[in-house]
Amino acid sequence: MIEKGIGIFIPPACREEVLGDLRERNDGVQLFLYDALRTVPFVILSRVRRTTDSVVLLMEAFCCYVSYLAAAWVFSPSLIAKREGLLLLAIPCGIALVVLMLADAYANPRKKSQLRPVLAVSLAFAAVFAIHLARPLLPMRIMAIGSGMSMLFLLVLRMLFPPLADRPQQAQGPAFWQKQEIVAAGVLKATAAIAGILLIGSAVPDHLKGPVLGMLIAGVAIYFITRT
Amino acid sequence: MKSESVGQFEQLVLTAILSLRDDAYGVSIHSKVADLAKPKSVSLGAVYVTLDRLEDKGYLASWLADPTPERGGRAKRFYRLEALGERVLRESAVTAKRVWQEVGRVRGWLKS
Repeated sequence: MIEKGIGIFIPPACREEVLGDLRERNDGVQLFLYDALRTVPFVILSRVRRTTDSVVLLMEAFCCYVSYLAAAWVFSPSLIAKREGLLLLAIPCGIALVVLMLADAYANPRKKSQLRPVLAVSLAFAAVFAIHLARPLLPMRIMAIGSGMSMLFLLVLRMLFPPLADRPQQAQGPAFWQKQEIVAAGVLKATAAIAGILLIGSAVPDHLKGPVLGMLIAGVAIYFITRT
Repeated sequence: MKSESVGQFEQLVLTAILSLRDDAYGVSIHSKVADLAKPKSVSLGAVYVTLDRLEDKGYLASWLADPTPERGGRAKRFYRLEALGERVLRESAVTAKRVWQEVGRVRGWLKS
């Protein structure tokens, strides 16, 4: 019972061996639970890393954000003019992308389905709207039009670039998890960092903009310098 | 071009797989790595993450074996070193040996 409960949280691709290892290591229920709590988060993160194509993720983030931005531009320009407006538009994108990443990680590699991109994108925006209903994120019109456009863009992107685990596998080619690096990871991180700085910077009051942006840029620069 | 260097923890995992030969799976690798890493403690999650990363780099290959009763009828995922993994481990062992020789030389020089 407990094993089944824990098993729900483990991505299906590695559920069998992780549950078996946990069972072999622990006789008691408490020890099993304690070990599972320490282990499962790492397993999930590792699976997310393996199933996420960072280049496609960046494209999805861009398309999603542009959709909400366009909707806000047409229907509520005053929102963009607000200090935190640009940052607010990123919230539904962030939620949708996190759900999409988890959907890819939790996809069962043994069960292939042509409908998977549609289901994953629908699930992502169902989560966005569920959170929006609990705590409104944006005006409803922007949410509806932005989400609709985002869904369309994400579906096209996912059909063009299916999740890594669903891509056709060559007999002599590298396995799907041995990702082919089209763009260096550092370039992607730098791009994401710049976008993040600009978004956060846009929401900071004018008199704090200088120090906050300076600290953010310095932090990112120190990170990249110390990493290399 | 992918990096062909490994960190210290990755070295420990590769060494554990090399020494376990045909019996390298999650639990046995973790216990061997814990032995090698003493007195530091090692979590099973960290071992899984590293195994995945090493497999991504092409240093390891893995396969699911038949289920066993002591694991509640669940299968083990076994790992083995690929040629690239062996080469990288050998290179890092040679570097570690060179470092150790240098430390020994300096210590000897300091004593004399």
